[in-house]
This record gives sequence, C-alpha cells and structure tokens, in this order.
Amino acid sequence: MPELSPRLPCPVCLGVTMGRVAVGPGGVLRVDHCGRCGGAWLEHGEVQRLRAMPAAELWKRLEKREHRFRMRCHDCHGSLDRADAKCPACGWSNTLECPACARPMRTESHAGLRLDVCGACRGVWFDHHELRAIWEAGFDGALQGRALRLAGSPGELRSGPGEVLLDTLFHAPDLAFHGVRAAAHAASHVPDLVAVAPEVATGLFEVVGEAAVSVFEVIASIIGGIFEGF
Amino acid sequence: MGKPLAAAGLAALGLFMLLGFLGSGAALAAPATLAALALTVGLPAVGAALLVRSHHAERARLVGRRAQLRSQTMDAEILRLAGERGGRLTAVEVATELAVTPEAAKDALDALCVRGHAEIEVSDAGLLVYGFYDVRHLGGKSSARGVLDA
Repeated sequence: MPELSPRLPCPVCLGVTMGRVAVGPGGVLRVDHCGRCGGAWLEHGEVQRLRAMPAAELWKRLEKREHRFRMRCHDCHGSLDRADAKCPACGWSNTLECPACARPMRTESHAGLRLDVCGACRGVWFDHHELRAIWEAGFDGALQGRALRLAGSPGELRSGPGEVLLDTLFHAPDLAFHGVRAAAHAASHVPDLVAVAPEVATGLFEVVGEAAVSVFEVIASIIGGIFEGF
Repeated sequence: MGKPLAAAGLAALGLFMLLGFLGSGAALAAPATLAALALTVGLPAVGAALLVRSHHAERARLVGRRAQLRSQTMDAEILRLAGERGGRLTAVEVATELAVTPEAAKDALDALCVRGHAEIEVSDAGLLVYGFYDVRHLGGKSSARGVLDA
C-alpha cells in the first residue's frame, strides 16, 4: 500500500520535503525525517509512542551523523548553527515555522538543547544532534528513572537531562492545553463576575476618560502658553 | 513582535488623548488646541501607522527571502540527485524523488537550463532528459591542469 498522506516540508532546510521513516516493530510509527539536515518532526503523541520503544529502534532506521548540520539563515542565507538564538549576520530570530500548520513555533531551551514546539498542533521538531542527545544518551536512563520513581524507589532515581526533558518539554504542550481548559472551566463557573463586568467596565471607562481629559487639558494649556508667548 | 507592540502602544496613546480632547470641550478652532491635537493624537497615530507598515514590509521581505532559499535548496537537491543518477534526469524523477509536482520539477529544471547548468536532450522515445555536463564529467576532475598547460 503506497504512502498517501502528504509529505511535509522540512522547516529548517526549506525546499526539501521530508521522508516518512517507519520506526519500531512492523513499522508501527512513521516519523517525518529530513534526509538533508537529519532532523525529525514528531506529531502530537508520537513522542510518547517513540518513548515506549528502545532507543535502538530509532537508530535502526535513521543514519547517525557525526558532523553537526549548519543551516542557512532564512533571511540573509548565511551559515547558521541551529543552537543560535539569532543570526549573527542579520539578527534574524532563529525560529522555525511548523511544517504541519505553518505557524511560528516557540523554542524551549533545556540542558543545552533548543527544541521547537508548535503550540497549535503540539508537534515537536528535533534537530539531529537533539535526537542523538536525547535518544542516545539519557533517554533509556530517564525511562528507567521514571519507572523506578513510579515503583517507589527514589534512591535509585537518575536526574539527567533526559529526565528533565521528559518532565518539562514533552508534557509542556499538554500542560498548556489543560491549563487553558481549566481556566475556561473556571470562567464558566463564575457568572457573578460576568454579571458585574459591564458595571466595572463603565466605571473604568469613566476614570480613564477623566484622566485623559486632565492630561489633554494640561498639554493644551502648555501649548497655549507657548502661543501666548509669541 | 516589537513593532506591533509599539504600534499598539502608540495607537492606545492616541486614542487616550483623543478621548481627553473629546471630553475637554476645548474649541477646535483655537490654534493651541489644534497643535495639542496634532501632537498628542496625530503624531502617535502616524507613528503607529508607520510601524505597522514597516512590520508588514519586513514580513513580506522575509517571505520573499524564504521563497528564494526554497528555490536554491531545490536546485542543490536536483544537482545532488543528478550526481546519483549518472548526470541525467527527467522531470518525473525529480518530482518523485523530491516530492514536488511535475510542473514544479520541470520549472526548476528549465531554470537550471536557462542558467547554463543543464541542457535538454531527447531520447529515442521522445522523452525530455536534462543532462548535467559538469556532473557527468566529475570523474575526470583528477586530470585537471593549469589553464595555460591545457
């Protein structure tokens, strides 16, 4: 059965379409991977599914690269490291557009890594060195640490960068999503506040209006004084 | 993000001062009122409009620069592909390998022809083939000599 879903553009390289790499036993997970820069796009939920697999499964299908890829600045086209926050030549802010929804992604920096997270579709972009740093070194350890913590053995916990990333980055979009939901839920249960809102708004408008009149009169009187001087 | 925020701030200041003017009941005909109005309402409004315009111009320029980078990356990928396929490519090969439309592939190949990086050849079956002379002769680069020795 051929792959019918559209292939996404690489947000780093621009002009290159990512390939879909089947990862895991039977190719259960399809990861969007750029053959040029080596980065990978993981859609919402794919990070968790990839977490459930041993690190070796990922590297069976992806080629490890020793040299760190240098991207081209999207503005001045100069050579740029992905870890740079801004282009040293033109000052372009090194933020990518989401390959799925084309919205600007936000960057999350932890333990020397700089991941790009889409707040809208909740996908995460991993540069190749970030993939290696997380899935090669600390990821299995982080998983073991989490398992031990759940089993009630805090003395055996490991608190490496992988653990920190798991706890903060991977769940950050979910937390934000649930936070917004909770706020909306709380707002729906305070009808009293909504009822007094027009009164508060009217009072505030009057106060602002009076302040504006005072400021304008002071300025007009100052200018009037200048005119009188002539 | 800085410019839209600054524009919003200036627009809010202009609105605030306009509100003050409307509430003050000052005579519009008085030169001092006109000057105060121009200074406190007109100037922030003009500043906000200029900032918004500059922000949009910057965005449009960045969109253009991104399109240019897309085109350059695609050219580089076509040349890489040509190296892998013996220095000859068809539009269909480029389209399938780079996951672009056949029209976009043909346009990119034609642009390379115009710039002298490729030349059009026709197969016996009438198929248009784009030949990359430089790529086909990369193997002979070890025999290169100085221009005067050649």
